Amino acid sequence: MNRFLYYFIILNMIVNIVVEVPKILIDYSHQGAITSIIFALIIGASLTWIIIKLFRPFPGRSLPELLELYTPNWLNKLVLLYFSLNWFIAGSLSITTFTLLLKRFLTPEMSSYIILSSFVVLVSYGVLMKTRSLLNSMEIIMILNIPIVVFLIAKVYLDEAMDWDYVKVAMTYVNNWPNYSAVTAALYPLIGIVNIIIFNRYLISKMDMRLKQLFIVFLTGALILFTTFFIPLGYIGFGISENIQYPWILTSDSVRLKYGLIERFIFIFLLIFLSLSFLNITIHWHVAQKLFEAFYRSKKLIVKGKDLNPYLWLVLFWGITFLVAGRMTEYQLFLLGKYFFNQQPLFLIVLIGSLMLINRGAKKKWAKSAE
Amino acid sequence: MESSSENQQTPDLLLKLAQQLSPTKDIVQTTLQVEGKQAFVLYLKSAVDEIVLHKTVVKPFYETATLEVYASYLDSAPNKKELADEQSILINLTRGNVLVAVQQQYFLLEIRNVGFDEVQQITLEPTIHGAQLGLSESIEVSMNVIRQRYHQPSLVFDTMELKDQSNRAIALVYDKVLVNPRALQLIRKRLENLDFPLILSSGDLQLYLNGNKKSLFPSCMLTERPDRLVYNISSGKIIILVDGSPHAVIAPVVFFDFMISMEDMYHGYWISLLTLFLRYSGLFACIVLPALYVGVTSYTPDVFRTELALTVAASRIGVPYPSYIEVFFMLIFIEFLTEASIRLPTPISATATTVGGLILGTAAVEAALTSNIMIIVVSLVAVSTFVIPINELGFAVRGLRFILLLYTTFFGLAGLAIGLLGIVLFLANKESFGVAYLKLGWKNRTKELGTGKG
Repeated sequence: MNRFLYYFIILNMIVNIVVEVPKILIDYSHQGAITSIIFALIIGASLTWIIIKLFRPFPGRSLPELLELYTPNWLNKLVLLYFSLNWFIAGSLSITTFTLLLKRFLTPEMSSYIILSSFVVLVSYGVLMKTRSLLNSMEIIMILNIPIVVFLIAKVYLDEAMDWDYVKVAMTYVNNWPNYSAVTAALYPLIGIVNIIIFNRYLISKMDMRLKQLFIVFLTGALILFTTFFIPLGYIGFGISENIQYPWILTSDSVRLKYGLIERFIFIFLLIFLSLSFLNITIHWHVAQKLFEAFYRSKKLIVKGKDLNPYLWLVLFWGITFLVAGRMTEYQLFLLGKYFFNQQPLFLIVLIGSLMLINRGAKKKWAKSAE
Repeated sequence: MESSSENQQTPDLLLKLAQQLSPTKDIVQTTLQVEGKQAFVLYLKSAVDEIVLHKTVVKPFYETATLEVYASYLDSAPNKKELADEQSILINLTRGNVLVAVQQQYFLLEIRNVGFDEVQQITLEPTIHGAQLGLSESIEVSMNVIRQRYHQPSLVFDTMELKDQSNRAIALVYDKVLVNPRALQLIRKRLENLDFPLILSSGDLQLYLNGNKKSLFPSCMLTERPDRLVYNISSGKIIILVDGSPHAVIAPVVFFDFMISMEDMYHGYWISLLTLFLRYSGLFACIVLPALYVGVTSYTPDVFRTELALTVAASRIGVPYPSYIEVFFMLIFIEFLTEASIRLPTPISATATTVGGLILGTAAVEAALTSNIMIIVVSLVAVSTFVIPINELGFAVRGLRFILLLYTTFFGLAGLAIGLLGIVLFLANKESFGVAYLKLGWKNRTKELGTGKG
């Protein structure tokens, strides 16, 4: 499998360890979180496989191009709008989450607006970058950060404060049926592959997925979901964790690096996950901007040979994010995240449906040209 | 001046050229004359090696039997140049060529006298092992230096002229088998479209070639090391030599090129790995440390362990202004010192650094204008900047850390983290002649990252 596909999948998994996903899963720890995780893993891995398979016949083509070629116009615009909103909201949610997180744990005296504006310049730069450069920088940032992430997770596993008894208690709830919200929450980290719809344009070879790769994706997903659900339980306690808004941050603050330059684990944890989230946000919005551009593009905005359309979308993105994120409370954000996760199946159905339509349209066209 | 312009048989072309060159006093226009044989010579005394001229042009005239023999002798001279229009002959005359007229035939012979053709000592990128002599200011000698170190029939010297006022000769040097064709095409195009009135040396040629003059990071590399040149030729890069400049331009370059010292090639694996590690940590330290100081003292003192936080706080007792002013002040101060010691002659610069660094530093701490730790940070930053082997990157980094400092001043430690990522994004988005500036060069990688349109 192409290494960039791995990057997308793993980045999305890691970034979602921290905030909403574990909170939702822990909320349902009495009501089938474990079966939900298993269920989500099966769906997530097979979705990854299906999406890659459906993209295989079209190397070097992005979804908007394919939609335009092989589907009717009205459908094409509708699908594009729906997708672009999805990606925009995903990025926006991450930004809001991290703004609140930083305000809560790193710089409590700063206003949310200032924290938000620390993202503005660089995320915008990343969104406007050439797609290929974004892929290059993603690779570098991932390679620099992942060893630290592995260290952090290993440290959390091996720390003395981790009480495995709570994990065992949580395991006893395995005999509950999966819960819809828990499944969608557990599914969200697993579908990083969907970014392929824009980046497929730059990814040429090795775009296939065999059993081995499927196994790797399944295994990393299982590991990540296990970590995100069980570790906070082990630190905070089963039955108590539900009352806590940020179970993972509290967990990370329970760990002390005795001989480290930085003693409190939470700071390394926050900053590393901030970096990866920043990358994920940039990727989300890059995709969102490309999709919006395919959806609507004004000729009036091409001034002196310079296309100002991307800037228009960026201004819109930031305007909405500032309006919403500045005044949102943590509970509202959590609810919004939950609703967003809950509508995910629709998103996946639309994605796979449109891909199948494209495949059918392409076959028809090829058949015609063969005659 | 041995001018004999009253001779009626002097060809018109020579007279015309001489007239266009006047009133400079170093034109020489003579007639060689013996037993009815006649030849006319025109050259600029200040550009021509007159001993060689005498040996190869004047003496044979008197030794050959007839003018036909002399003409064919000149015609077969190895330093003969093609004749073009008048303007180019004029430029060639200023370059040290000699125009000889025999029986309505004209010969342009290159007999340059270059006063600066010694190979120079390497001063900018010294190494312990490796070549000690660099290039020369004369382009022929520099070309010779490269040719003698890279014996491959595929090595190409593509000489051309700059179209500015100086009309200087430049040479593109590359291995035609290994070269990156896209970059070569781009460089050729940029050189053709170069539209600047005066180009002084390879230093500014490099900037003009760049396309984007306002870029912080260099997109070509200047070097004086022949081993670096050969190493780069063999990895498919293009070298531009400029006559009169002892530095060669290497293009395209990527970020990692600037972190390599040629010394790395001459050491064992582990040693060079260690020095490389040192260099990157130096780079990281000199970018991050000032910003980190501000982030930690002013925003989140609890990041470091308690003892360290207390030490920092204690050393800042009595410092009257917030940390970012302290850092800006000290950084600018250290930049003054660096700048002063670069421009001054060596004996004086030692005094400047002693007075500035030692005495002022101690006094500033005693006067409670800065903290002790700030002095340590600033000196560490200054020293680690010099770990970067190529000067231009050093300059870029010096600018960069101010930007990062600014970002951290506004947004705290999170700003530092995001700012660092921003640097990565910025570098990854930069291109040097069609080659991505910052990317990991792994095997198979290029295959997976294919080309779509746009």
